[in-house]
Amino acid sequence: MRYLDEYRSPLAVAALAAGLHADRHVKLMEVCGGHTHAIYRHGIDTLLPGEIELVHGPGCPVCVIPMGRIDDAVSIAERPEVIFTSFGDMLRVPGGRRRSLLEAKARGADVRIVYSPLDALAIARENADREVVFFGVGFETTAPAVALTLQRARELDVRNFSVFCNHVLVAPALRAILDSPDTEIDGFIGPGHVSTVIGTRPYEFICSEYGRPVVVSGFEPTDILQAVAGLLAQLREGRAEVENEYGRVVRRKGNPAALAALEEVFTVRDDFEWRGLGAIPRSAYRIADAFGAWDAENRFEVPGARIEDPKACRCGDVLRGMAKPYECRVFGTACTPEKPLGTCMVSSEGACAAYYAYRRVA
Amino acid sequence: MLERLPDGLARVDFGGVRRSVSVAFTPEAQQGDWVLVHVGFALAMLDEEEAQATLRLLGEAIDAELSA
Repeated sequence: MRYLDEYRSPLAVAALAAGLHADRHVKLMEVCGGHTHAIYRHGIDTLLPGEIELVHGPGCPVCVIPMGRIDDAVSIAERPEVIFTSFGDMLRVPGGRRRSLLEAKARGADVRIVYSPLDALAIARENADREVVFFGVGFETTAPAVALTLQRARELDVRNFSVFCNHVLVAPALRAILDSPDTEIDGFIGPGHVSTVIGTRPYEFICSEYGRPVVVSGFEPTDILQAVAGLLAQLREGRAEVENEYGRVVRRKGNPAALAALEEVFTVRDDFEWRGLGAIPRSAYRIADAFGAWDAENRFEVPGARIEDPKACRCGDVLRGMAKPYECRVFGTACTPEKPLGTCMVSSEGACAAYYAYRRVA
Repeated sequence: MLERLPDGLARVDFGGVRRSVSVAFTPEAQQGDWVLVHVGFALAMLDEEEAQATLRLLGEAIDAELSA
């Protein structure tokens, strides 16, 4: 397809890879799980010289949702009046006692996969006698879609629809990683699609306060290699700036219409528990009071319990760039995409799922 | 994008698969424009000039490598 194939040109990939070098060990974090998968699918890791190490960041929305929130979702889904709608990749995520939405469905809960939150709203309009709940999961990439769906629900006065909101924010998570004493990241490959919404300004603190460079990147092989080259050049020249390699869709100010929808429908929570990163202040959205009638947390009692991850699972370390998936004892044995223990093995954006699919086992 | 539809929607061709998506966040998108779609919403329009500029850089990288 146009504007995809050109960025996969083997000749361009080879030329870019040949130009990469660093005179010391350099640790770069790709923030976004979409980048993690692109890197392994295209074998970009095998093209980099040994001194350049890529570590995987927290940008996998499914991965960072803690188990307690899965239990809350399951408890809503198990109510007889509820049709629980979700993106497909949340269904296999195990909660406490290893119960997932998929298992709840097998036991009789009405759990349905949707492509878009607007599809969930359509289900609500077709089922006036049922309560339809959408599992809102995702960064600022997905949150505007949910915001617009809630605006639409209010406009159409759809009263049997609500959202269980777990939308998280990318910048506070990056700050938590930068503040963590044991993570030494030299530079960041900035997320592409989330930046179409928020723009590149929210990353500027990484340069001004932490002195680390950021290059926002697209998802094709040449995009990622150009981003790596840009980071290495900044490090060599002692610069720390936000550069935008993905200018074909990312603008510095982001998408004003999407940002306005976020502003109207959501409020930032005081803090939110992230898997692996713990509670991070002002790192997630809740539904604003003006839309409180469509907030599933107002409408249903949820257990709201905090549940520790299984001891054997190292998702938390993987999400902070502290461990490679194959360093986890249960990787590929007790934890596989078919029967996952941790979220990083479930999601199509999870680092463990990428290592498993593309056989990076050592 | 193939065509605008009522209610802030548009029909988009995804390399063969066609579906209607919301263009609420890209109100200026017109027939023939390339859009980036996520969960049924067009989040950005592709800036063809920027895309060509990146492709020119790639071309230069190839030329430099071939002549090295």
